[in-house]
Order: sequence, then structure tokens, then C-alpha cells
Amino acid sequence: MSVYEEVTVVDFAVREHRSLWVDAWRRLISNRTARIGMAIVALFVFSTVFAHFFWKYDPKTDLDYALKLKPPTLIPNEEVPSVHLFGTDKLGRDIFRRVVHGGWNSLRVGLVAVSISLSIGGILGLLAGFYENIRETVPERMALRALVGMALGALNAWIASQWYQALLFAGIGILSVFIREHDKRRRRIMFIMLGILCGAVPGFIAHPMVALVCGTLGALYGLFFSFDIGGKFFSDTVMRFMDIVLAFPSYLLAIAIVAFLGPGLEKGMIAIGVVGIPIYARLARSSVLSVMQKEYILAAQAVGESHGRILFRHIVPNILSPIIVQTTMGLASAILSAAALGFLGLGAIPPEPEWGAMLGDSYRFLASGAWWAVLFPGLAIMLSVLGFNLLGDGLRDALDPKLQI
Amino acid sequence: MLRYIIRRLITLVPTIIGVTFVIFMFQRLIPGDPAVAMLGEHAAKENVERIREQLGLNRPLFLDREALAQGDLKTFFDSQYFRYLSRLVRLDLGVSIHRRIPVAETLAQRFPATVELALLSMMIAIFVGIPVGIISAARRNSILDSVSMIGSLIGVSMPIFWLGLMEIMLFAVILKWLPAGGRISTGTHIETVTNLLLVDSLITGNIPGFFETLKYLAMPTIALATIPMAIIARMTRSSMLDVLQEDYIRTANAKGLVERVVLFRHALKNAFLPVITIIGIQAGTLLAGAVLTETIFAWPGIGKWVYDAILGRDYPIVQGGTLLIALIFVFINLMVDVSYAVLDPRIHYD
Amino acid sequence: MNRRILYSLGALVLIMSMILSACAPKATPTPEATEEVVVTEAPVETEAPVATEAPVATEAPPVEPELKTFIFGRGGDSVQLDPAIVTDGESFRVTGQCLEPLYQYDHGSTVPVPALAEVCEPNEEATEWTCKLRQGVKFHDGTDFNADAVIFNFERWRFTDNPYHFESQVFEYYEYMWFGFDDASVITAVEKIDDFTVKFVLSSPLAPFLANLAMDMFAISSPTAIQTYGEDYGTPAVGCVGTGPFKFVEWVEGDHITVEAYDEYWGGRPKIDRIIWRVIPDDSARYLALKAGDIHALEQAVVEDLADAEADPNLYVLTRPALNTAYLAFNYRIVEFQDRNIREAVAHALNKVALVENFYGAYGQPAKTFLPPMVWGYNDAIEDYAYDPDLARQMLADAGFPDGLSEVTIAEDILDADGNVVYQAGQKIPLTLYYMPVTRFYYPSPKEIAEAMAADLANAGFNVQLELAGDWPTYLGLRREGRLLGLYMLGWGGDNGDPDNFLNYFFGGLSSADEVKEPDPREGFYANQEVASLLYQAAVNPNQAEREAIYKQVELLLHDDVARIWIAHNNTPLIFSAKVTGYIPQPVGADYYEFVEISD
Repeated sequence: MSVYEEVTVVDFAVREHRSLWVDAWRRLISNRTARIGMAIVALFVFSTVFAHFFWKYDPKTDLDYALKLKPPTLIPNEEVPSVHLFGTDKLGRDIFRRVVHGGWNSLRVGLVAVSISLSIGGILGLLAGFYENIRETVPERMALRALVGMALGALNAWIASQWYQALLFAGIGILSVFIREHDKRRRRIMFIMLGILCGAVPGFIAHPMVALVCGTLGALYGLFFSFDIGGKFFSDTVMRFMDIVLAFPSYLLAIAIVAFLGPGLEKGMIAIGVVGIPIYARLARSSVLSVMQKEYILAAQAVGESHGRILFRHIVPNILSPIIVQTTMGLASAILSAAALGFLGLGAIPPEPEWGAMLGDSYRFLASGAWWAVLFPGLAIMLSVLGFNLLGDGLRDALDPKLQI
Repeated sequence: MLRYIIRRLITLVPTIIGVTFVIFMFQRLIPGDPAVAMLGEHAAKENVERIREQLGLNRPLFLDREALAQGDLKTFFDSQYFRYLSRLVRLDLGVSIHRRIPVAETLAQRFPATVELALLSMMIAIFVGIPVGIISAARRNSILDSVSMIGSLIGVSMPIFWLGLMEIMLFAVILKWLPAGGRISTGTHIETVTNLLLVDSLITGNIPGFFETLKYLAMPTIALATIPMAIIARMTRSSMLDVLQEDYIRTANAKGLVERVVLFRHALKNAFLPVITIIGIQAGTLLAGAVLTETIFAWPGIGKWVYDAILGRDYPIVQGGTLLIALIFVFINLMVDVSYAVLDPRIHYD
Repeated sequence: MNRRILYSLGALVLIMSMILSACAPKATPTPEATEEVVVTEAPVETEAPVATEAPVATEAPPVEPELKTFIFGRGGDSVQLDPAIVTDGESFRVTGQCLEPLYQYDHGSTVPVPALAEVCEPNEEATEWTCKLRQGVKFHDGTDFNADAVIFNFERWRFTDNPYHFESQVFEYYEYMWFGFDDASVITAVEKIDDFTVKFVLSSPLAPFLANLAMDMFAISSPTAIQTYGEDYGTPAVGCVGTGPFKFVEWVEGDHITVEAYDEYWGGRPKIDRIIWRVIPDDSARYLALKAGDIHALEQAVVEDLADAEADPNLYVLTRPALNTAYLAFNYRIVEFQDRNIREAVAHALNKVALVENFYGAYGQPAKTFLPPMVWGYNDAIEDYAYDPDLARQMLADAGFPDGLSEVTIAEDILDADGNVVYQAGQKIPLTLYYMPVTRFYYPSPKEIAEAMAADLANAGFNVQLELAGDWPTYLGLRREGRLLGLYMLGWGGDNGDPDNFLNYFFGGLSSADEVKEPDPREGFYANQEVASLLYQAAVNPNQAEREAIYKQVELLLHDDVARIWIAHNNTPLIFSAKVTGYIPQPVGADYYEFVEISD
């Protein structure tokens, strides 16, 4: 990005061959922001993990009315006989301890949520980008059309209460791969007839009206299969779904998912993870698209390497850097979202400590001056998020200075 | 160009239908219903059943296959979803379950509150964020640059609900300069024309009302502006840096043009594209209503309204409010794409 | 090229804004709308030329300058202003000022005293009540209050085929207090004797007749208003039209409701000119608004803020006498909870006194019975189970759990609303305490109270897990189906100060003397035949002294059985600015605002 880095890149080029990742690591640790970020992240990870295993805390029995809402106390005195670095909360619990242990929950939420978004979104985006540009093989096309047929047929099957209709339409899908009728009009008519047949005939057993509805739907499906349903269709459908998810504001969507699943840390992880899927899908797809035009992919195709091999040997390694950067930053935003859910009372189940929930419980005492109960959990959220953001920034500079995330 | 816009508008249709579909899915999936929410601890079983029936909640959600098996095509389509769609086509968002107020009416009242807050926040974010980004880029690696970039990173990492609480503590509890929440004090009277109080107070010449409104807007605006401001500053900087490395800038510099001219006439124009994208996305997010900020500052916007409606199972509000929010999102995305076409002559869409 | 793009962009914006404006309603047709248009015209005319005049003109809009306005801050908005069809206190808070029932409760108590009726007298069997109505009273819309108005209201509530008994409305309380609609109603007729005398005919004697009559839900609305506005009566556009000391002005949903003094009020015009109820949902934000002078009074505050308010010379605190009980209920479909000793161990495990002191402050009272002390029938002789964790642990050990209790067994299959088995008999589940997702007046901070209770229980060997079952509708829904399997928090706020209103809803509900009490899922499947029979006897007995004895006995039985753990009664605090005097908080029914005065 800067002139300085350009010089170092040139410098690397004249040195002996070294792995790309080793290079990246060197650049990472020579980057000041990244070092600060790593230090903060390491501090949080180390302290929470250490506390989790070696500084046991049982929130279930932690209650001392005598110590409620005491300000930070460094030197024990008569009123507060123990040290409370960050003060105590309404139930007389030590906030420092709860902040440290709360980190375990917050970091866990971040990790799991990002894994969910990354694995689902990343794979969808990868496939969408890949098949958008490549002609799918016959088995792939069969699988796709069978699945689509099954999904469409499921509606018919549900309406008519006849499960086998789903299979019939899956069959039409597979059939459409092999019927090589090139005259467009005749192909269309043929498939529409086929669809009506599969929908209406079984439907007729139930009721003529069912036959009418299922037949109409069948005709539509038939028309659909008479087109060239392939990779482009798959990619478009996936991205359209992502658009739908993106059209909802993330907090509201997460809240709705939690309302459906029920509150709790695990449910929160799922909600935040699902909301994040489109981001990774879009990123993965656009990264794949930029890689697909490269000569080495064309070469691999020309040599006749299998699709799976091209995907995992050539494409995945080359789109890793933006994904790694996004994942790091995603951890930061997942921690923030988790805190927001916790603040609304939808996070960890009490008395389990969690930063957002601690804020949500304590802010009512601000008016009476208990600033410590609000300041420290908030600082913990901010610092940990800042740490991951700094690290992500540094990673971007180290891995791919041209990236704009 | 027009063709491109029309094509984009058409692709929006399935997205919007998908959105309404998802809203309905959730409605079925989330347990508990408006009847129970309405009647509370005292609820009697028969009344719950009756309300469900009156609200049409005993109709199937999407399609009634039992009716079809009886040969009744009309009842087959008589579901909650199709009722909603048919009302929507007639531009009727329905009536809130709990208060029996037309959803559109409350929307007309609450949306301006969100717009006022979002626009003011966006203005602050843009007018602070872009200059900071430009200066950082121009004075790269200076102390100014480091400070503003660390500042913006902290801004991006800020839990805004916490920032809001800290603001309240400082300005409302300790200093007592600003009110802790609400949109306007009860004593102040502003004639409503647009429902944007700042605008209304100005066009009716109500200067005290204007400043009163500003006092209430100050804290939530700052809280909301923080993240977009930081993001815009960062994006402006990195985009400017990219452009500054281009050959034509070097040429301009070599020609001996004044730095100011190079920066503003040559670099800025080209660095603007990604910044616009970011501004669009951020504006969309803010217009969608900030649930947490609105909760903390008791701001009567749509985010809090929809959130409360989810908790109270007031389906017409959830449906109407979410649909509006989704429309805004989608529309802003479209605007961003179109502005690309306008600003960047290299992009051709036809 | 560029210009064309701009045009198309402009067209797009235009289309979108047209769509949006089409969605918005046409110039809200509120009654005030016409007035406001006139107001806005003045500044528009003077806008440009005389710049200095414009602000002056609007600074003091034609609202009378010296209007004495009392601003009350509250946590939630009203649902509707037709009291017959709502159940929430925030609605009654407002309707109580604009409507009046035939009877009302005396200052600071639950004793019914005449309001719109001058007197109501029963016949000897107490099956007929003849009410003399107040004469010369006018509704806010100018129509007369008379026997026809009373009959109109009662018939609207009672008959499901009445044209104003709208499908979409639920007359929950009529059904509940008068035993049903149409023919099921205990009021079989409301007869007009003359213009200002009505007779209520009952199918059987009803002990709390007057107390019921005085409830907010049975306040008399103007028949003309209901006929005019139909289903819209009670919504923000219309509000309420009654005979009360204040008449409805405006309601901005989610923000505030304004009423103004009714000059022709039969009890004399109130001393203040306007009341504004402002919604400030957050407890601490509401308190800050009071300190800043934005509001004059509020209800419900954080304990720490209350202490602050008491120290502040500019503020003072009044309490609403507690007519509520917060409790912890057992689900009796759990084998372990069917053991009375385990229930008693739970009672000994909870440090109720400390809990109340910490979360309710000086305004809470630890509860030992379901009835709060201010309700007659309260049995003060009962001695509460003492806080004794060691004893609790011992009792638990004696009951067969020397290592404490962390898993419980389902006694019978638990079904959901559709009849599916959710839990099977014999299944083991973790010992759970369900806490409420919302703050209610009886539980000021349910989550932290639950944490404290769980800690107490854990110290006595009950390894209890907290659980949030979902949001409020979900929670109530699960409770209705008996699916809060474990301990769960809930409470009750009395409606009319009669013990029957507390006890019969939960533990009685029999419709004849020899009916068998079925375990009700809503009450955690608790059934106590002895208690239910006694409650039936009390409900049909017109002699108050005998009823009182029965209720005392019922309370003792429930205590001995440890049917539930009664936690606290909350004397909800109201904080006032020192400028305000004369506010009378009521344990039940609308507070009295008409004596409020504000000094400068």
C-alpha cells in the first residue's frame, strides 16, 4: 500500500524462494497495528482461557447483598473487606471476575458464529462463483436438476398430500438433462405436457381441484425445465437468497431468529451466524470470479482436471487472503452483535456472565452513580473488538494490500 | 441506462416477495400469539381462541390444502399470506392488533423520526469522515494520520449502545446539559408539516423549538454517527491512497500543480466511488432504524417500534415495518449501483 | 449521456417517493386537524418580509399561556381508551380520569363509594340492586347521563349479538366478573325504573357486587360516542367520552396522551387544567426526566433512585398500597414437587427478607400469604417459613436427596396445545427456574431476583438452572399449557380488592358445591379440593364476617400445603416533584387527579 511496502516487496523478490505464508507472517509482525492487535487479542484469549481453567468461578452461588454496588476497591477496608478492581454489581458480585469469565462466552460466540457464517456462506459463494463461469458436468447437472425438481415438487407433494410427486418432478429434472430436443418450441411443449401429466394425474386421485392446481404448477415446472438450468441458474438463485437475507436489518433478523429458537448463548451464536452468511457468500463469490479468469485455471481446465480438484487445489488457496481478513473482522462484529443481543436480554442465560448482559443489567444504576458497573464491561467489549479489527487491518496489509474490506 | 434501472427494478420483485415470505415464515415459527400478548396474566382460554379467530390467525399461513382436497379452490387461497398480499396490492398495511391504529398512520409518524435521526447522523459522518480521510491520505504516516486512523478504528469497534449510555452519564447525569431521552419536551409545541421536527420548526419560524429539537437530537445523533463516520474516514483514506499512486497523479505532481488542485480536482473525484458505496450501505442501515440506540434514548423511531411489535406479536406492524425497512435497503442498494454508472464513465450497463 | 442518466435517476426518485407517499395516509383526519391548519397559516404569511415577527407569532401559539399542566411519566402506553375491552393498568390510568363507574373506591382504599350512582341498595335476598343515579350530569359530548346510558353500556358489554359488542373486541372482564355473556351473565337484567333509577337483577346473590361495579372496566361511556365512532371508540383518533373530571384531547401513540379539565364536572372543576401522560419506558431515564423537571411525577423506579429521591428536597415519594403478590410457583407434574417436604425445603431456602430489601427497597413487604395485608381475609396469624438453608438441606436429605437436587422427574405426560407429547412421564429433566422476561409491578427486576433466588437455592442444595423461556407472550403461553416445568415466577395484581378476586381465580373456579377441582395446567396443575370447596362457599355467602373466616382458613391451608412460595407485595412507589400536591394513589382503580395542585 505504501511506498515503503512496495520496496520491501521488490526486496522479497530478489531473495531466495520462500513460502507466501512465511512472507505474509513476516510482514504481519513488522506491522505496528497488527502487533498491537495481536497483543490485545492474545491478552483476551489468554486471560479468559486461563481463568476458565485455573481461576474457577461458580456464578450460581455468587451472591452477597452486603457488597452490592460497591465502587472499585483496591485496598480492603471495613466496609468492603475484599479487593474489587472493577467494583461490584447489584448482587454484590465482583465485576472484574465476571468480566474475565464473560470473555469466555463472548469469544466463544464470536468463534462459533463466524464459523457458521463462514462455512455456509463461504461454500455457497465458492460454488456460486465457480459454476457461474464453468460449464457443469453431466452428473453435476443431473444432481442439480434432480434437487431443484424435488424442491419444486415438494410443494405439489404437500398440496396433494402425495409425497411421491416430489420424486416425479425430480425425475423430470433428470430426464431434462438427457432429452436432446433442440427445437425450442417443441421442447417447451413436451416438457409442459410432461409436467401436467406428473402433477394432474396423481392429483386427480385426491380431487379434480387438486388436479387443477397441481397440473398448473406442473406445467410451470415443466416450462422451467425446458430451459437450460445450469450453473448460472444456481448462482443466481443463491445470490438472490442472499439478497433477501441482506434486505433485513441484521439486528432485527437476529432478534427474530432468537425469538424463534429461544434465548440462550447457543441460539445467539446460530442467529448471529445466519445473519452473517450473505457477507461471506458475496465475498467468496466475487473472489472466485476474479480468480477464475487467471491463466492457471484455464490451464487446469484444458488439462482436464476434475472440478473438485480445480476448486480445492487452485481456487481455494488463492481466495484465502480476503476470507481470512474478513473472518478476523467478522469476529469483531460477531462479538459486537452478541453483546447487543445480551444487552437486550437475549444472550447468555444468567447467572452466566456475559458482557452485553452485564451492561444491560447495570445501566439502570447509572442515574444513581454506579458508573463502574457499566464502564468496565463496555470497555471489555470495545477493546476486544478493537483487537480483532487491528489484527484484521494488519492482516490485510500483510496478505494483500490491494484489498478493500 | 434506463433499461438497466428497469431491469434492476424487475429483479427486485422476487427479492421483495421473498422478504414477505420470510416474514411470514417467522410469524409461524415464533411461538406465542397476539391474543396471549394482549390478555396477559389474566387470559382465559376461550378468549384467546376467539381473538385468534377474529384476527384470522386460525387460517393457514400460506395455503389451505384441506380445503382443496374438498374441492374448494377459493378457500385454498384464503390464507393469512394471500390476505396480506391482497391488502398490500391495495396499499393497505392493515391495522395494529393491540391499538387498532392503521399501520400506515403510525409509520407516517414514526418514520420521519428515524429519517431525521439517520440523516443528521449521516451528515455528521460525511462532513467529518471524508475530510479526515482526505487529510490522512494527504499526510500519510504523519502523527495526524496515525491519530485519526486509530481514532476511526476505535470508532468502528464501539458498541454504540455503550457509547450512548456513557453519553447519558456524562451529559445528562453529571453535567445535566442535555435531556436523557425522548424526541421533544412536552412543553414545546411544533406545528407538524413534514413530521421532521427540525424542518418543521424552521418553516414555521419556531426558533426555540428548533434548538429544543437539536438538544434532544444531539446525543443519539453522535452515538449513531460514530460508526459510519469511522468507516467513511477509513474508506476515504484507503481509496485516496490508491488513487494517489496512479500515474496521472504522479504526472500532475510532476507538472508542478499545486497539491490542493491535485488532491481535490484529480484524486478526490476518482476516489469517490467506493466511498459512495459505503455511504449508501451505512445510510440504509441507519434508516432501517437502530433498535438499540432508539431503545436507550427512548427515540420514537421505527426500529424500536418493530422490535416491540415482535415482542408483542403485533403481526401487521412487524409485516408493514419490516417491509418498509427492506424496501429502503433494496432501494438504496439500487441507488448506489446507479450512482456508480453516473460517476464512473468506465462502467457501461447496457 | 450524462444528462439522460440524471433524468432517469430523477424519475426513479420521483416514482419511489410517489409510492411511499401513497402508502402514507392522507392528512390524518384527527378532530384537531382543522384547528391546526388555522394555526400554521399565520407564520406562513409573515414568513419572509417580517423576519422578527415570525418567531413571536408561533412562540406563543393560541394555547392559553397560564395553563397548569401536570405531566406524569409512565413506563408504557395505553392499549386503548375503552376500558371495557382492555386489561392493562396503563389504559385504566387514563380512562379513570375521563370515565366514571356507578361506584368508585374511596380515597386510598378498596371500599366502594358512590360515584355516578347516588346510592345502590339490595333487596333482602341480595338478588336485586336498585341504583339511584346522579342527576344533571352531562357527558363530555354534551349528552345527558341517565338510566338509558347505563343500560346501553351494560347491554353492549353483555350481549354478544349487540351491534356495539364488536367481533374484534374482547370484553374480558365482563365475562370474568359477571360469570359470562348473554344467558351466562349473573346480571340477568338491567331495568329502567325511571330516568334516573335502574335495577340490576341477579340470578344469584353476589357478595362483591358493589366492589365489582366500581371497577374501571365498568365505567360508563357516552352512548352517542359509541354509536358515532363504532369500533374506533377508544382508539387514539377518538379517545374516551365520559363524565369524568377530565376530557380527552389527544393521543400521540407511544408518546403521550393529553386530557384537559372538564368545566362542568359534577364534583367541581379540577384545579389543574391539563394532564399529560408521557411514556418513558426506561425506569432510570424516567427518573432522570423527573429530576430535570421534564415531568412532575412518575411511577415505578429503580431502588437506588428511590433512595436518591428521598434525600432530594425537591422530590417526595408516595406509595400505592400493595394489592399485589409476587410468587414462585411449582409445577406439580414434577414428581419431586409433589412431596410437601421438598416444597417446604424450597420455602426455607429462600432469603425472602434480604431479597425484598435488596430489590424492592423499603417499599416491598415479604409475603407470607397470597392475600396482601390490606385485603380483608388476610391471615396475620400465619407464621412464614423461616430462612434456614441448613434446615432446607436437611429436609432435602430426609426426602431422599442427600446430595442435593439437580434433576427432577416428570410425573405425567405433558402435552402442547396441539396435543403432542412434549415430555414423557418418567423423563428426567434438569431442575429449572423460569424467570420472567419483562418487569411487572410485582417483580421490579425479575432477572436479578431470579439470580438471587437461584443462588439461595443453590446454597441449600437445589442446583437450579435459570431459564428464559422466551419473551412475554411465549412465557404466558407456556404457562397456560403447564409447560413451565419446574419453578416459575409470576404474580397477581388485584382488580377490586375482594379476596375472591385473588383466590378464586387460582384455587377455586367451581360452579357448584360438589364439583371436583381438576388440576389446571395454568396453575402448574395444582388442585386442592378442600380449598376449592371452601372458596365456592365463600363466593356465594353474602355475610362478610363468615367469608372472612373462610378466607383465613383457606390461606392457612395453602400455607400448610406450601402450595406456592409467596415472595413479596410491592407498594409501588410514585415520586413527585415538590411542586405537586394533592395526588391520591389508589390500591386499585384510577388514582384521583382532580385534587392535584401545582405551585410554581
